[in-house]
Amino acid sequence: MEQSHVLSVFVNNCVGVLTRISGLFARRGYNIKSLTVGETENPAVSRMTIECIGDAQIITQIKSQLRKVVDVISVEELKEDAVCRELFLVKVRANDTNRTAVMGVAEIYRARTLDVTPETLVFEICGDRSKLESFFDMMKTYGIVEIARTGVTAMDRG
Amino acid sequence: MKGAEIIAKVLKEQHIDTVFAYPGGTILSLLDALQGKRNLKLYTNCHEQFCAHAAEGYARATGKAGVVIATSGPGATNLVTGLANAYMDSTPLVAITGNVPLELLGRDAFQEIDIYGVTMPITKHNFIVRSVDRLAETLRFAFQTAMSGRRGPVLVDIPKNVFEECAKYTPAKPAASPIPLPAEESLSEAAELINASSKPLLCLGGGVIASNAAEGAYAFAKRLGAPVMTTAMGIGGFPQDDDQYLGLAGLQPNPSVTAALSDCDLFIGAGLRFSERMLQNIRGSSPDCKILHLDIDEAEIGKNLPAYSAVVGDLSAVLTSLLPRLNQKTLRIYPDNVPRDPLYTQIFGAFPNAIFTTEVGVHQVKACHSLPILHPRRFITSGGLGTMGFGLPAAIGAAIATDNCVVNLAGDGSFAMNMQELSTAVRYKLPITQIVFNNRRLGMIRDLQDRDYGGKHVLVETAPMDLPAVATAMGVPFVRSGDAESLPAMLEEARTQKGVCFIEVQTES
Repeated sequence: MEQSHVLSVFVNNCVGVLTRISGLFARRGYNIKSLTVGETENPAVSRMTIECIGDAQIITQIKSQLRKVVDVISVEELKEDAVCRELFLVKVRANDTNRTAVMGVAEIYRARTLDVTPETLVFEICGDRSKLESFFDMMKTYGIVEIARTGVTAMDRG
Repeated sequence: MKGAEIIAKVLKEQHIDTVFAYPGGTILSLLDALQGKRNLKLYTNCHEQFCAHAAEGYARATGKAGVVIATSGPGATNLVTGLANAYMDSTPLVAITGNVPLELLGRDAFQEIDIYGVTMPITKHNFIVRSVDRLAETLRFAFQTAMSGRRGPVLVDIPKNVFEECAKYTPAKPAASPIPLPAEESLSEAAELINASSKPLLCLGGGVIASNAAEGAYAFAKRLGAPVMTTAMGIGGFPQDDDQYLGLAGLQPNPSVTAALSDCDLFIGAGLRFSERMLQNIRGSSPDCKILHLDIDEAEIGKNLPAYSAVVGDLSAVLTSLLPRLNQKTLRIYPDNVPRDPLYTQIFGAFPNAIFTTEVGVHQVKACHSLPILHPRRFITSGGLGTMGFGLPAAIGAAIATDNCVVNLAGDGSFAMNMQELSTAVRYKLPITQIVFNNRRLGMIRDLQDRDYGGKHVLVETAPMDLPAVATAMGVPFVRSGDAESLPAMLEEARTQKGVCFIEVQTES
């Protein structure tokens, strides 16, 4: 059954490593939903959080193919209850007539207001996917000007 | 010490005795440093692609890493097909390319190309060395990577200034590549599965050659009493004069292969990747049998075919660990239905101790089926990539590596791609016999057009050419041409020659 899986891939923090990993996914036709990279507590090591879609066989393949990449140090598949977070910046259409209403909805989601103009509002919101998507759907009703998403970053509990 | 000298030192550390290089502007200081070094011979071909194929021929004839050197830009891009070929066939190569000086990188300088980016998907790993301080360790790691686990090509791109800058050189011994050993659990599960099976079938792939596992495979096959097939890459992994030898697993399976497949309850694939061509035969004949997959590369397990059980590890280690756990089974022999083409068995008969290389096309398929190869590393063909033009330069590499007689089998289409390499064979006075089956067409593609496109022939007739005159012009001392009937007489003459021989066989198909 196809479903979403989150992989933590620890890689050498060196030139070209992102190309290597994204190239592997593109070449072999694996689906990436999101990919984020950042340095870890050890500056020589980066952590990639890759959200990918596939059935059990494909995910096993992805993990084995990743382990073959020389710059990959380890590959872990996160558990279903892992802590997953993503950050959205959302620019919404809002003017004098509905600004309060829009900000009221944002308040419910605990989104922060970063910028106000006569025609727009920019919100920052962080959370798990269902919360962010629900917020996004609500904001659509007011009219979204643009959105920037960081992609999921995640780790196991405990 | 200058970077170029450091490279010479590291090659010596790695016991590299042969390098295939094509000169160019960015690698001049490297060539200067390598020339005249004791125990290191420099060879050149007519094109960088042939240097790469020659290095592959060298590697496959010896099991050592092949080394190829090319300049930046077109020199580097000309390696691409050779690297891809080595990647598909898991051949250990180390390619060193020069690049423009560091300060010009990224500015589209003359003969600058991002070969690091270009070769990422067709190398096991690649590097760009931005500082001479990292040169020795990078090159050592390149050799270790090429030669460890599932072998493969590694490219090291070096900006010109790095060859000329100085760093401290500290000698080091080549790092031992750890042999990937199989997990105990998987071994006992596999042994149980084999012992429970009544009609196992063994199929050997290129891993048998790469892991030097032919002896282990032989003992294993004898214990199973099972019929044995090989893939094209596995040819030589099992002696073809043995009663248990069944034939080729892939293209055009012979009736005994088909019968054994539909009869078996356990298919043991050893050192192979279940290519789609082989899968057709397995799925078609034997949809219900269990699959036991033995391979060094974990990613091959379940990639193309779900395996019932698998053992991951060096094939030699896997087979020798399994053997003592297996019960002796009764011998099962199928009738010998190997479709051996008499022209090819005549050639083998004339050169029983030769290494055989092939190009790609009809002659390759016939060679794979027909040559009764007995030993590993005696048959070298472009298995995964199917590169026309591979055979002759690979023959050159194999001849240089072994001093052994090498026979390259070619069609006229492939010969038109690499004919200038005859001059390389002549230059180095190599014991190579080049046999061209000239049917004045790209036979395999023409057959496909006959089969699938109603016989409409597009671009498959080759240009008329006087092949013996070409060979003579290249300086080949022994040139013969004739039809199939005159082949035995031509072979009889050729086998006693010392240098390069050229034989054209005019055929109708």
